[in-house]
Amino acid sequence: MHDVIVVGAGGAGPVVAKELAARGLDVLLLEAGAAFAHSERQWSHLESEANNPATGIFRFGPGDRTKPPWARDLPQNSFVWQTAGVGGSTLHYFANSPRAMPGAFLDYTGSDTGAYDRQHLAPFGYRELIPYYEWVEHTLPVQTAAMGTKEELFLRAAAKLGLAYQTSKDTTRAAFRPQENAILQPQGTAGRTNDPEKLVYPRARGCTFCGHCPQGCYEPLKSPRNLRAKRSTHTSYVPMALTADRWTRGRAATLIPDAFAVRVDMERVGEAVRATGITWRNVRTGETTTEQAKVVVLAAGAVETPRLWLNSGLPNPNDQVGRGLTDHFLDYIVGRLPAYTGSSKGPTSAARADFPGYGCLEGAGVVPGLQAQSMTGSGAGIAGFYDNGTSGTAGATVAGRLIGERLKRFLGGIDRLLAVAVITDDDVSSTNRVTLSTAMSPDAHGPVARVELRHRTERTLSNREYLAARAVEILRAAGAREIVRVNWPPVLIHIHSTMRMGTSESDSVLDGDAEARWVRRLFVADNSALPNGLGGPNPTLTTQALATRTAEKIFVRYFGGDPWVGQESPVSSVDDTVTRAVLAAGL
Amino acid sequence: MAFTARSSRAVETVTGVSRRELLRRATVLIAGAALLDRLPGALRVQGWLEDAYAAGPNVVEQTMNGLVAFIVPGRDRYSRAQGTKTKTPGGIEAGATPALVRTLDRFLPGPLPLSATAATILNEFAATVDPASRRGKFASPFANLSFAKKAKVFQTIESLQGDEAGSIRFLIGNLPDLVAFLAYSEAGVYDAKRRRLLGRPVGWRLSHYTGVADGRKEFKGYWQGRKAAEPSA
Repeated sequence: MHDVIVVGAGGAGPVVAKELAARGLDVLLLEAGAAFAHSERQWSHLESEANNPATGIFRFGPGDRTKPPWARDLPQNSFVWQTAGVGGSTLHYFANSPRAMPGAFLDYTGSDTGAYDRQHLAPFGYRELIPYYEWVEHTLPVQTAAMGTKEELFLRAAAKLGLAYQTSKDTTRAAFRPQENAILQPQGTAGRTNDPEKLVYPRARGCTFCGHCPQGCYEPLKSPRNLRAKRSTHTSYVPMALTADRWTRGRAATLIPDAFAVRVDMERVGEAVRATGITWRNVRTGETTTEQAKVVVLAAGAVETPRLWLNSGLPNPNDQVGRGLTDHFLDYIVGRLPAYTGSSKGPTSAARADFPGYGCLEGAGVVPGLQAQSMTGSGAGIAGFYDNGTSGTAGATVAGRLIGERLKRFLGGIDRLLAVAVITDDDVSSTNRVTLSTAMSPDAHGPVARVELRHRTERTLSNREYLAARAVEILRAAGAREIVRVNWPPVLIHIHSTMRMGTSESDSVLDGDAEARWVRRLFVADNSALPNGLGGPNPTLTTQALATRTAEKIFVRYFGGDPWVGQESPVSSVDDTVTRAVLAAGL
Repeated sequence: MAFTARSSRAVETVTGVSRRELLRRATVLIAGAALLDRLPGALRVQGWLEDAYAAGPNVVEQTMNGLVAFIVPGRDRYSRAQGTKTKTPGGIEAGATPALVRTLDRFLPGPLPLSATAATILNEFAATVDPASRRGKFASPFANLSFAKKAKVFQTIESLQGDEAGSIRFLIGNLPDLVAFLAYSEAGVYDAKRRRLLGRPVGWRLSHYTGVADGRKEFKGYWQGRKAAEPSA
């Protein structure tokens, strides 16, 4: 029997695994996808090789790429961008690590209280989360982003429009700033040369400005795994979990890749139900194994965690499992400038503007395939032909899919583009949900997940329009002469709140400590545990802070331990002790 | 059926089948791609499924060429046929068509390739938009359409309402962005076995992309020289 089984080695599971392994617990970490043990050899900067949804390295599918991806049922024009494998979606994420909007929490008393989703607040205060933010920010670490040309353009434009400059990590007013990113700042030759001979560790350290954040990050070349520039959990928390016996007096966690959890095992104790372990399937051999644990933590992501719950037949008395999905109803606005922007270079997103009560904007720059994809997926029809009755351009030149000669002309100089992603503060709606598909055949792991997006509140829609208009203003101020509002369909990159924590038993799955209301010793740690869309900011940092808090709650409640956050100093994943441990362990 | 098109205009095809009926068949066809293992008997009665099985590689390839040329036109005959021939290469020269077929068929494998499903839907809707497209230069009605009529096909499909049409909206809705991704990436010139490029991708040339690299000379310092945010008060 293990102390703890964690299901999923994505953005959150490794946080719980590392924290509890560091406390000396016996932790088993299961991951459905590949281990990526030799990432520098296995990964690629090439886009289709890396990101093709059917065949790419970073897809939602088994590590054996001769096999098809795992299916989802999406009954609308939409796209789910998730990656299986150690690191999960932090392998392709942009590493943006802002804190949440304080207005999304129970203790908020600002004058704009009514501007938030007050029906679905976090069941604790923002101030309670700050020590956990600080712990994670030190561990990853999170640092102020260095600028390239596209960031200079974005930030100057925001300043020109009169927006305030935010110097704090806490967002209290509408303001712009460089991103707080989980990306190591460039040092040595990094960012200062195109010469591949000079871009090898240790001459280059931190971000090399290669422009390939969505294709994983194995830069600088030959750097130890824990010193890669982008702080995916593959780079940060997983190596720490697996070496917790070396860099601290903990116990090394055990990682099993290619292990797809198919059932949460449980037992009845009187009137109560409690989790006893996990049954998982080896996706290479088909063999199933059952492991027992004192505590089970689900961190399979906001789509697969509710699927696993429902497939396990766990209690769902208030029918809230899978409901309340928030996705920030993203949009994408692209400007074409008469001068160089460096759009294809540097961190994908290193500048942002936050608008409390509405959501956020962030600068973005990707390489040609993803840029073209981003400009041709729309819910607003084809620019110049039809608009599906949608809301309009928000001041842009055109709206909708850009295709044909228009697309070619616009994309004729990728380093003259400047893009802004709209990240909407969207409301929890119970009809936006993950459930089990009856339209598609079950796969080897049971009925597949169906992701339904049926309703947007008026506040969500008006927030998105407000932000799109601000994005257009920034692009014009930056010098864009032609602007496209793509008006994305649901592009699910930020997926949260499908197993939400809440203040009320009637509309939430988890209590204030992220333990399941109806199953003892079962916790949820991924984005699905978030109570709402956080007011708009990118969710990973908050999920990781919350996962740290959840690990502490588990340790105190079920293992008789004491809290450590705020009591001890965190060890950074780039600390020399960790580097030595990683090298000694051969990771 | 629960779904309806936004437009109330009834569109009759040359075969006398109403658009409503076409949509019903398309829905069943999409479901068939996923449910063939469970419901073969139910699907045999659907004329579209038979069309899809009957669609040879030539029709599928032509349809996908017609789609690729629609999204990224070039110097090819499909671009010329739709009235948008350009001086620069397009998605077809980029090798996006075989990459698209591979991607679709790997995305959801089954007895009926997903590329054939997609091609059949595009062709059937093409015939509703312009019945004359069945008698054109290509065996694929969709490939025979003008650029504007291809846009009309997408408009018609995107206007489908109701749960039953959801899978169609998903599949067809994602096709343009998938094509664009493949046309502007290395997919058409990549040797997957040897993990190397066979040439410079067309999309890189079109976008003046300098190519993948391990680093760039692009660091411009820190905004106002600040390298760290202030801690919480």
